[in-house]
Amino acid sequence: MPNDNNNIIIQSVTDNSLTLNINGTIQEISNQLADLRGILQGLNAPTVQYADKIYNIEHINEANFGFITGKKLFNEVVAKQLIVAIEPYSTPARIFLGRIAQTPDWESVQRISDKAKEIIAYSFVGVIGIQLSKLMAIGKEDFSEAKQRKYIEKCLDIVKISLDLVCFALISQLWDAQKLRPRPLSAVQKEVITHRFDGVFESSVGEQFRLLRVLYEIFSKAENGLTLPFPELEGAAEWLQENSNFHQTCQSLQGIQEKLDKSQYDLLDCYEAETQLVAFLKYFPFLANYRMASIKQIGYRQIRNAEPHYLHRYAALGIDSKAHVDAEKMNYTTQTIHTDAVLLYRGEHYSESVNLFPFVIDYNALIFEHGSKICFYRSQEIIDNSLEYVYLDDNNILNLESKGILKPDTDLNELMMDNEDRKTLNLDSVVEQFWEARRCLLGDELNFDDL
Amino acid sequence: MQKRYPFKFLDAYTRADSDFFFGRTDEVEALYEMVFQTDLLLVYGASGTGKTSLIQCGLASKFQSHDWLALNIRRGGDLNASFEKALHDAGGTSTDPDPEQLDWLDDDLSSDSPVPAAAKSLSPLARRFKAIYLKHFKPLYLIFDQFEELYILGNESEQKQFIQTVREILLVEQPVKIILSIREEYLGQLYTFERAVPELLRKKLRVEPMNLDKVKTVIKRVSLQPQSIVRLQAGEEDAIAEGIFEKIRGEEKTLSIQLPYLQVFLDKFYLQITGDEKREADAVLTQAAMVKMGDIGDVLRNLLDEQVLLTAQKLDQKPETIWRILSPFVTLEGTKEPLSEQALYGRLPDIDPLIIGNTLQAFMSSRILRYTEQEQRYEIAHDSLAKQIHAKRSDDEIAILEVQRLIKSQTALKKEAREYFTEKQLAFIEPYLSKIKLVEEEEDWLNKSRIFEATKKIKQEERKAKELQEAKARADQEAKLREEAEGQKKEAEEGRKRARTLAILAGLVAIVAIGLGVLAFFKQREATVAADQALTIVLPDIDRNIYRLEYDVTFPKCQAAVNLKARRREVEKRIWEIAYFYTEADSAAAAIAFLNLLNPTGLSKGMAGVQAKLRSYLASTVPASYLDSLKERYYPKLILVEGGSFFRDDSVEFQVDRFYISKTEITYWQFNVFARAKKHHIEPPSWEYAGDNPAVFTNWYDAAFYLNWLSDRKGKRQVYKMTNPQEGNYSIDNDVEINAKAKGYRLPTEAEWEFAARGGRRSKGYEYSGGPELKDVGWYAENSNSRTHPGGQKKANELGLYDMSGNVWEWCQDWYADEYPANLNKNYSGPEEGSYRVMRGGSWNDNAGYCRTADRGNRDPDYRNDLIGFRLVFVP
Repeated sequence: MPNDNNNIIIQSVTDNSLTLNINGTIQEISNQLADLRGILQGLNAPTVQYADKIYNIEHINEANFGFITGKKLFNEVVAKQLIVAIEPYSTPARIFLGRIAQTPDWESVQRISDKAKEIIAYSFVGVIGIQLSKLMAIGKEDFSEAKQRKYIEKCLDIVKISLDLVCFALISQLWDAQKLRPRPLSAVQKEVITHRFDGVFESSVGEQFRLLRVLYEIFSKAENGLTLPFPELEGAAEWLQENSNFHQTCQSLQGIQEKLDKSQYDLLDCYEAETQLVAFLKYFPFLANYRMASIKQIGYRQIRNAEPHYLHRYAALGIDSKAHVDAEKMNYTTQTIHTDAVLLYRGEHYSESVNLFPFVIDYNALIFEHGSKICFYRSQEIIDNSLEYVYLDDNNILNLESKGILKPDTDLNELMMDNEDRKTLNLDSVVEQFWEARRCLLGDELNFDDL
Repeated sequence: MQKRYPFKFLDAYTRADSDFFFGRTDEVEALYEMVFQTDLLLVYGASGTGKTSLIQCGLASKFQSHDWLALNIRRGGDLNASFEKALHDAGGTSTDPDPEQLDWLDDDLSSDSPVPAAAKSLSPLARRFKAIYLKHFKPLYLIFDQFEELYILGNESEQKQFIQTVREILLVEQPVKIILSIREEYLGQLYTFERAVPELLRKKLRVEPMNLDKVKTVIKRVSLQPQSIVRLQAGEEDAIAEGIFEKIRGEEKTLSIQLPYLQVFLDKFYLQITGDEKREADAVLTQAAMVKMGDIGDVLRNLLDEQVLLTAQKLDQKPETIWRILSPFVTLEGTKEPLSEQALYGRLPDIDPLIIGNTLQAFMSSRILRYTEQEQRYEIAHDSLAKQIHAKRSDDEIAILEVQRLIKSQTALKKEAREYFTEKQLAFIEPYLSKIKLVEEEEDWLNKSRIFEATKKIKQEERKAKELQEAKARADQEAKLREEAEGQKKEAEEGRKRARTLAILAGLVAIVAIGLGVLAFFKQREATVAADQALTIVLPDIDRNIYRLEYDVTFPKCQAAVNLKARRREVEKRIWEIAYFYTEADSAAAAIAFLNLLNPTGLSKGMAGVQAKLRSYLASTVPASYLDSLKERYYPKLILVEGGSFFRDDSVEFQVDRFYISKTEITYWQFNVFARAKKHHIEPPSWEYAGDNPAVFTNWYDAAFYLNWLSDRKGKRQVYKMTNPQEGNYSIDNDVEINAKAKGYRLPTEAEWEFAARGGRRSKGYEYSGGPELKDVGWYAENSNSRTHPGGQKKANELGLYDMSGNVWEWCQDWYADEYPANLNKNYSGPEEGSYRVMRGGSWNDNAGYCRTADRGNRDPDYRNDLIGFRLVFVP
């Protein structure tokens, strides 16, 4: 019968030793889980306290013990495992792994580990890379209660943003395809997609998993004749099954989210969140081969008897995105592109890309500002059904509703003369495009040709 | 919950004070939005509007700690130095020794190329930002607070350097943003800055002074905070807030007030109620107590006067002494001037340092002075107090400050732009010199001014003496004429009278002659000493100009040196060198002008064949040994390399025929002759031009243009045929054809380079060119002090060649390919085509591995940076 009356506290930790306060008596033992277990078993004590948190000895294993005692650093699992996962998609990761092949435990050498983290953060597609760098930054902060919370939150943010990104790419592609030739969707499929469009709360990881599964199902149905925006997802049917390892990872993450919501987390959950994040991203390592860009402005040039050309001014999205005019890139091309597009593409150029607008928007581009402010659609506002977008950099909510600036009798020339009106027009278009996508996907709308 | 005092007195609010920071919601939101729309943001407003608090508390609190790495930078003694220090402190030092041999981590791993392209292209600044980023993984915010100090206290070169730094920052790829906070009356000073950085004023936020509504918000919300020890009497909140507003705006009836005044007033108000200097007691502010407070003018006056009196009593000093100690912290305009403790001692040499130190401590305690760790300086807490201190100054103090400013205003300029102090200025300065402490450069400039004035006076005296001599001669002549006339008229009848007149005149002339002789002797001796002293200054100055390639500014100095009529040969040598340079750089007119300073040459700039005539003139005038040394300085020296072969990787054999190769890398002195002659691009490194250092910022095409010019100059055939011969117009599309058969100067092939670097036939098989230890034979990251060095300072290799390992990367002729063909022809010269040209040898910025004779590098041929130069070969 465990004896809960013992009061065992880990007072301090060094590389080699743990200083314990056992019911008021100080004792030093080696920094080994077996030794700690031995002490607790001897006293028949089920728990040990460290930094204001009480840990059940049953929940501590060799993997997470180092995390508690500080031997294992935050982001070590991320660094060690993700660099391997992205190797096929990232040249720097491949070269890095070649260089450290003869260095065992490199992840515990800070400079090497930092380099691995840098490669990971810079390799992953812009919006995820930025979030990963935030996770690295939190991991480097001094230990605190706030750090634990932020660390877990950020792990979950990365998971949710990754799922959203993949789902938005699928939805965008599906929308374009449905516009050309509507495919019938099942009631269940419609229900899940409707929930994503009409939900008034942020989707949970479980809901996002479900959406991904449904979208994948639509794309993989042969008669639909659809092409996946990510060829790397071919064969994902297996891991998108109920109770697959991936599904279990999502469920674990959902569980961590619930603990966080109830403030019932501790250091072990930081380790668990990191481990599950890595397990999750191992299914999406190909995102290290994708890039994002925001189209800022498009110019047009056609000289007499010559082919028309377009001048795309765009911003590459990533950790090193700059916010001034000289940092924006130019593409002088005969290729057309959507205004205000936020593009997701494989490789180095966006000639073949998925336009994520209006599910992903660059708010700064819409208001003619430099720098990128990338916002993901989150949910509808519960009262007025306006659209809530979340700004990924700080998780602040941006509320968008149509001002209806474009009326049947609007003089467009006059409207275009006024900068503020043009901004309003752009923001209105986000809302209108959102509803149009919804109508098209969920069958509330038919093309004129289909009538 | 720990309750605490909510007011900041004269300190700015920081992130830790966010629970007491009110009334700025709109500005904070606007600022927060702007930082995502620009990389360079300007925050401006009048003094006392709370710009610093807005950024360091309002904006900082909007970010989570992992999204905000702020470096707050004040000018200190020099803004550029403070910036450097801030980067260093944040971990942006890339020159730390690396005991773990992890240098490869700095490599760019984005390509399999053995020499990483992007890593090499990172500027030193970008590398430092990268180091900081890897340490924190946070976006970096460089906050330059009180930026007006750069214009109040800084000089033009400091301003220029900073502007250049900002331009570089905007180009780096790391997440770095700049926020400049400046008083609005100094916005006009940003004209030059904006011309160089048009982004500067694109995003800016004006911080408005606080109006009554906002003041009410501040006072009432602070009172409502549960952790505040200060409360407003219930029911009197509005009346108290309005009363405070009225007291602060006084009789001026403005619509807004300055925040420091509000803070000082609230602090005094609290002390009046509690008397608790520790500021720990709870207080309830009431309307009745508020009415008893004086207005802000009284509060401020009392604050300073009280502190000065208290300190004077405590230290047993007169109040005037204490005011004097405060005085250097205020500029002549009555604004703050931050000072280090040492600088303060220097400004007050007649006051006991112990008294100064104790006064500083006393004013630190009363929060009238503050000390910034980062800049290690003291400063008055706010400009509002600075004005009061200024008003207390005596005429003598103001004069001392004017003297200091006068001296600093000259010494802050580059030497070639300075003017000597005039006689009048020296007369103004001299009486105060015992009361100020000058730095060495200031002393030096004063001495030079004195010598200049003395020399000027001697010349005036000489002129006067000459005029006197001429007057005497005229007098003699007149006397003689008069004598003759008188003689003709009165010879007969006034013989006695004439004899007496002549005697008197002869006596007078004798006296004048003796006087002039004595005067001339002393003047001559003084003039010689003065001339010698003046040349001690002028000649090294000319040498410096030559070293920095500033030939064009030397003419007046050479003219002055000639006029001093001393140390003739030393003056001649400088003038010959400059004339030689201009001759070789096809600037005949300049060469003739310099030579005419010594003797008329009889040459004129437009005459046919003037270049040849100049060379012939120099050959006949300049001693042969000196002329030879000039040729060696301005043209490369070549070493014969006998043909032979070597193996790479024990498998690929390279065979080369005999060739000549330059002993050192082409220097700035050498490249500049060509650049001047052909008006070709030349660019200084950050350490400025240094004639005997390798010329950097030379791309492959620059080298080709130089070598063609050299071939022309020496009567050889050009090796490089430019598809577009317009200089400076080079790109991959506009490439060159290489005439391999032409007997002219060219770049070494990679095989030739490596054969020579390994020591040719005399090779002893060292890893580096010339030895097994790189530190003995080359300049590289660990011994270079982050710059190039003169050629020939390290040990030569087996062939007598210098710096083939380290100092600068050297362009080779070949296109680059990862692999060599299996069977190589003799004199292999690389693939037929490619995108990159080979470069070899490593540089001052590289780790040892890159400086091995076997290591290879490559670059776009049109790429320039401060790591790359070249040397030449010639095959007879």
